[in-house]
Amino acid sequence: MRHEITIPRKLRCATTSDNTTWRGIVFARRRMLSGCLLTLLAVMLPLSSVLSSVLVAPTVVVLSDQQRTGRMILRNPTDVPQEVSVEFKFGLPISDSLGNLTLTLEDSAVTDPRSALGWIRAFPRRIVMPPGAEQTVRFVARPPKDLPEGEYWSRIVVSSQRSQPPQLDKVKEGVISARLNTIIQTAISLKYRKGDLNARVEMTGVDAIVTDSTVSVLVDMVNRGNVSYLGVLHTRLIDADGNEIEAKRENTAVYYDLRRRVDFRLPEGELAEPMKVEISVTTEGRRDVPAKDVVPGNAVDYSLVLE
Amino acid sequence: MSHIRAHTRAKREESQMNGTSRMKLLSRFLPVFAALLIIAGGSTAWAQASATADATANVLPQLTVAQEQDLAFGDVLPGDSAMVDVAADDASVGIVRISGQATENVTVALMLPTHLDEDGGGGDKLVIEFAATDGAWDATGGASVPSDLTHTVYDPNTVLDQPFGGAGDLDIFLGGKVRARNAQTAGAYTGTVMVIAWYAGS
Repeated sequence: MRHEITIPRKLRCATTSDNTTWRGIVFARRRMLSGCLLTLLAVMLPLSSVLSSVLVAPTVVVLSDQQRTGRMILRNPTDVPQEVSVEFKFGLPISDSLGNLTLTLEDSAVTDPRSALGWIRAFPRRIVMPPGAEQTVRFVARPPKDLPEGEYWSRIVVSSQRSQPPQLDKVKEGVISARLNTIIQTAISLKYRKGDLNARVEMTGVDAIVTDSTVSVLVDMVNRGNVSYLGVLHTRLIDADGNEIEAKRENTAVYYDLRRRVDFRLPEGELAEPMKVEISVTTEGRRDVPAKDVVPGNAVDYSLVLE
Repeated sequence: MSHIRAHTRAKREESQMNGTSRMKLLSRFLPVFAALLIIAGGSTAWAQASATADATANVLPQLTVAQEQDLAFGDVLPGDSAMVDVAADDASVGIVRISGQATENVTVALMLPTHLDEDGGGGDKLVIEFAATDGAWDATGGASVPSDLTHTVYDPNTVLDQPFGGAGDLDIFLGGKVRARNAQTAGAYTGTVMVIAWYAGS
C-alpha cells in the first residue's frame, strides 16, 4: 500500500511564488496509526503532562555487513501510557525546481534498487509504554545474497498516540463539538552499508534570486558516490568590500540529486555591490550524526557573484 | 653533658649494630632478590601499580515530538462556524513541541484532515479548513502558548524547515476553522492530525 505525502515547502521570497500552483498535502487516508515516536536516550527528562510523545534515539541507524544488528531506544516521557509502533517505509528527501522539499513514504512496490525495505526487521514493533518507561527496539538485517557494494536505505517510522483516548466533555444538546487528536510520527534514517564505500558529491549548478530585501540561493548537487552524502552546506553572503552580511549552515543529505535553497535577508541601507555568495559542502562538521557513521567524502567550494 | 655523649655513643653503636644487622639480612636474602629481578626481567617489570582508565559516554542524538495541547473548537451551532486563532486562542490552539539538537535544522510536516468524523460511528462529517495563517512556530522556547511568544506565522499546509533554538526546542501552533452545515448532526466530532518530523539532513 502506498501512502504518498507531497508537502511543498513554503517560499519566503521568490519572484515566482504563487501559492495556487503548489501541491497541497495529500492526506493519507488510512486508519489510525499506532506507533511510536522518537525517544531520547541521552537526556533523562522528567515526566511531563504532555498528551502524547515518544523520545527516540539515535536519529540515524547504521548497519553493515560486519554489524547486521542495531538498536534504537524509545522512551515515554509523559505521565500517560503511549501506544507506540515501529514500521519501515522507504522515503528520500527530494526537491523540486524551487527548492520545495518533498518526502514520499512508501511501504510497498518500491522499485529503487537502493531500498532496504523488506529485509530489515524490528523487534518489538508494537508496544504500550507505561509512563516513564524505556524500551529498546532491535533491528536485524538479512540482506539478499550477492548484494552489490554500497549503501541501502529505509526509514524507521515511529508513531505514538495516547493509549487511552481523551475524556470528552458531555456535548450539550443541539450543538456540535469538534476536536482534533494528534498522532505523532518521526521518520529516522536507516542505512545498511556493504563493501568499499565512497562518498562523493558534485555541485552541478548554483543560482540566485535577488529581491529588494532577500537573496535566495539555489544549489544543485548530484551524488557521485555509492553512499548517501551526509554533509554540511555552508553559505555566506558577502558584499563587494568583503564584509560578511550573513552566513548559514545546514545539514544536507544527497541521495541522488538535490536542490537546496538558502534564503538570506538583506539588511537595511546601502550595500556595497556586487555581492557575492560563497558556497561549500563538506562531510565534516556534522553534529547530529556520530563521526563513525559519516563516510568521509570530498568537499566542494563555489563562488557566485550577484551581478 | 656526659649524659648526652653517652646517648650519642649509644645511638652510634645502635646504628652500627643496625647497619650490621641489615647487612646480614641483606646478604641472606640477596640471592632471592636477585632471582626475582631476573625472573621479572629487569627494572621495567617493577612498574608502578597504577593505571588509568577512560570513562566514556556515548551521547545519542535525539528527536522528540510532543503533543502539548489538542486543537479544540468547542461548541458550534448547525449552520455556524468556529475558528481558533493561532495567535490568540491559547486554550484552544493545538500545540506541538519538537526537541532536538540545538541550532540544527529539523523538518516538520502536518498531515491535516479535510473533515472530522462524527463520534460513535454516526457517519456525518464536519468540514475543517486550515488557512495559510493558521500555523505558527517559535524556537525561543520557554512559554507554552503562542500569545506569550514572538512567533512566526506560517502556512501549516506546507513543510516547515527550521533550526532548533538555542535550547533545542521548536514549538508549533495550529489553529483552524470548522464549518457546520445547517443540517449538520449535533454531537461530537473528532479528527486526527499527523505530525511528522525528521532531520532533513539525514
